[in-house]
Amino acid sequence: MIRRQVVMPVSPERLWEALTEPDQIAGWFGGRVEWELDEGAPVHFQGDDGDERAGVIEAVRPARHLKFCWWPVGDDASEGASEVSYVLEPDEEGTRLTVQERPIEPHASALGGWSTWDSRLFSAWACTSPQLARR
Amino acid sequence: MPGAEPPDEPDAVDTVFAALADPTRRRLLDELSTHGPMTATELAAGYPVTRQAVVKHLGALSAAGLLDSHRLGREVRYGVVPDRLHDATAWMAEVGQRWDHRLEALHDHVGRMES
Repeated sequence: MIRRQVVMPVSPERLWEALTEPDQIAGWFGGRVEWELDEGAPVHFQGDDGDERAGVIEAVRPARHLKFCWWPVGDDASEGASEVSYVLEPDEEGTRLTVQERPIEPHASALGGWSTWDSRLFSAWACTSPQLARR
Repeated sequence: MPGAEPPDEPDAVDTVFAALADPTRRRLLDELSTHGPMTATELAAGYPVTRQAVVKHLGALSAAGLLDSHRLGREVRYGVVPDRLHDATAWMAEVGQRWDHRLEALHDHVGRMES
């Protein structure tokens, strides 16, 4: 799992806009994200570098917390599904943002003889499977 | 101690990170990477912990697929499984770097929002 914590010099509400509105996301994320902010809603990501991902929104608490799960849909399935979470907390200098991303399935190499298609199916299953998503 | 099969449950990579979260386990892994396969008794000689505690840590590392073990007479020798470690650390390095870039860009982006 990776974890990063930074303080952004804006209010939680402004930071939330930057983190969740597709036009704002395009300004810093390195790609286009399409989503509706509803739990269970689909996520589509098209990276500037060609990386394409699908996903699902898992938790939405405006200006507080966002969690989504995503997995690659391109030809490069070497990376599996992972879960991303944003936590926003008011801070003297603005808003403290904690980003975490953790893998929720073995890497393609760990899947051994699985075909690319199998591992994509597995990613979708691992992401949407309630008992995994809830952990 | 059974030989470590590569775990195939959905959170296998998570298990690797959990195993690596403990400093003693990281040192043991480091030791085994440097010196090659060793027994729990040999490893315990260099530590201020009991052989029993070392065996427990080796068990956690084996369960995460980071070590494999071979019985040699009455002793079991533990060795590092390099691919597993490489998978987990490569993922962390790559994904971590991506977020470092994004968060730097986000900081610039919100700076422009305020003005």
